[in-house]
Amino acid sequence: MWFYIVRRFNLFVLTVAVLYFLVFLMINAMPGELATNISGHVNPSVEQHEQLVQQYQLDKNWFNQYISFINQRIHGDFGLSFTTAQPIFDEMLKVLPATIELCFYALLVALCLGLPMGILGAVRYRKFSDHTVLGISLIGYSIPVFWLAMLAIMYFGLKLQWLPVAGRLNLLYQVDAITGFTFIDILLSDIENKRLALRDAFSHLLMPALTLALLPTTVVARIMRTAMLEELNANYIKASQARGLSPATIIFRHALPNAIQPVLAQVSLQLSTILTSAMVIEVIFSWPGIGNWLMDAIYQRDYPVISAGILVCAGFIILVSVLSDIFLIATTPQRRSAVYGSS
Amino acid sequence: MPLLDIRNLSIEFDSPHGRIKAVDRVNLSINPGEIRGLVGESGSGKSLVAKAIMGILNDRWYVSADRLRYNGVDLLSLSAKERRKLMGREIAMVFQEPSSSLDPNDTVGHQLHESLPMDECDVSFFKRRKWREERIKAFLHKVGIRDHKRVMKSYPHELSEGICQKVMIAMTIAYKPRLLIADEPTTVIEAGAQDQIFKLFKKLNQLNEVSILLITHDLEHVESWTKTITVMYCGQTVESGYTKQIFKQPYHPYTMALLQSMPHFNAQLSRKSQLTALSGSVPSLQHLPIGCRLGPRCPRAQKLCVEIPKMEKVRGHYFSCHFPLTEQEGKKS
Repeated sequence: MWFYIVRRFNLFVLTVAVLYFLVFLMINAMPGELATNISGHVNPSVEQHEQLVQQYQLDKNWFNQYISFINQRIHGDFGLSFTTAQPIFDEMLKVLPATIELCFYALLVALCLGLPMGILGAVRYRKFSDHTVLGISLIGYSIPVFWLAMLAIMYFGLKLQWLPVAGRLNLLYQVDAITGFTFIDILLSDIENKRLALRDAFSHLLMPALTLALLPTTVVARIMRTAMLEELNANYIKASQARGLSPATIIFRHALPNAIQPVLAQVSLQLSTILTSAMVIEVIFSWPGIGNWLMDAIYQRDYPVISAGILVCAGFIILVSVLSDIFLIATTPQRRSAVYGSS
Repeated sequence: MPLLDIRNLSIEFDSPHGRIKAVDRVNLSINPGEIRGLVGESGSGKSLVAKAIMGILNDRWYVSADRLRYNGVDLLSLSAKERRKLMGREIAMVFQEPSSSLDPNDTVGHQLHESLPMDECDVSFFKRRKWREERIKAFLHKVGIRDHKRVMKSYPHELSEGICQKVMIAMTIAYKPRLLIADEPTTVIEAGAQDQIFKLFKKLNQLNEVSILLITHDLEHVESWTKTITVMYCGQTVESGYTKQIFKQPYHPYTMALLQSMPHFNAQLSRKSQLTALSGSVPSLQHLPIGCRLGPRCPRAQKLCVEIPKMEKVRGHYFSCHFPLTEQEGKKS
């Protein structure tokens, strides 16, 4: 198993290296001067320019440039933003938690709703509840996220006025960003009426998280249903039925643990989809996350921010998929002895 | 009174060509303490019969029978819960591929835990764990597994098929069943372990009075381990009776063909001669012949064979054929 983890880690390093290379090529292809694009210093003085050339080894060949580019980036130096002239890393620390928070709750909702739906569909195969699950998941799968988000804003936000339509927290509450995660920050802060603040944060979160959760929920439900059906037809289920075990024991003790492992692995692959729709959702709900930040950067041709955003988002997805692979290996006895990641 | 009494059991399913009878009016009975073989080619519906007895066929199959009784209880009229209670406790089943009959995600020890009868446990809560381990150890030793510690800690894929089958048997005997259905228990098992499993069955049969329904297509095993057999072809019972009698003198042409297909090495076989076999192949389920399903392949078939023959009985030996082999013809083999 350790050997496997090392292999996966190698794969991670290599993939990230390729990713960095692509971004490096992109920066080279951008209009304007390379030293400016790579560091974010607009109109550097002669000394500053000299220093940048030193720092990124711009006077050497492209390979040295690439290496020093990686070196700067993995030490947390993403350069400055064109628009704010602030270090990009600090800005990212502000926006990334908001996105992670949104994605996390959406994924949580997706798992909490999707898994039971899938199980229900498989257990009541070709019965009314199965058809209902399939129908709901087909509808959910086909609805475009941005359209649903706008409908939700129109109905729940403007017409019924139940939920706020933008932002993470009402400006009335003065909460300092310590971790960047709203709920934790509120609990850590020393404001009065924390309860109200929590409630406010929750009502802000509700609409974006639910709209974002719709697509993964349907995907999870479908994958879970298929995996569960396969397990329920397996020999060992027949054998445990023949031993007279109760249906609940069979489903939850035997079929579910076997079915859920591939499902969780699949879900981690869904993370890229979630992150993409999260960007759309963030723009629509003015959620101060990385998507919103990147969109602004794109409008303003803020090249360092764009490249940093790509590095971080893609790197995050690669990291999660490697971790989920390792998780799958750790939880599946047959695969624990696997050396290659093929099966 | 027979322990298991099946009369006219039919198992059907819906196909695009209409409803098809995969098993057509099968009769089978097992007396207490008997080992009965159920013999037939693959696809002849043996496993379906076994699964119908256990009630683990899925919804696509329609089971109907004039009589499907276990110990006087009509199995088809039981509720799912009552039937579950009966299964595992009274009737147990051993499957074809033992390693796939165990949950791949769970240790063997834990799965054995699960199939222990906890209502027999009379010790206090804190001693339960110990009690369970002792019982499991005893059962594993009983089925001939010596290193119980390693086996209990292993996952099914780490054990050989033979050991997995022994574990399956250990699970079934935990409840002291009165009827054991063994569905081709040795087909995927190494040759050395096959005899061990059969010896185990024999021991169970003699010591615990367990009746065994042995489903197999291996005639040599049937000949040496069973007392009575039932022969199936294409979902119909063709012949049943005492093993010795049938092997000595079959009445049905199919049984005859089956016995002839066993190569006898002492017989005068000329070099490179073909072994005897029925011409043709088993009909597919969409194209089942009417009447006696052996009809198109049967060397003795006549016009009358398009009607299903009635079961006839000669000295405790049942067969369903319009034109049974006479004693002289039977002896030729």
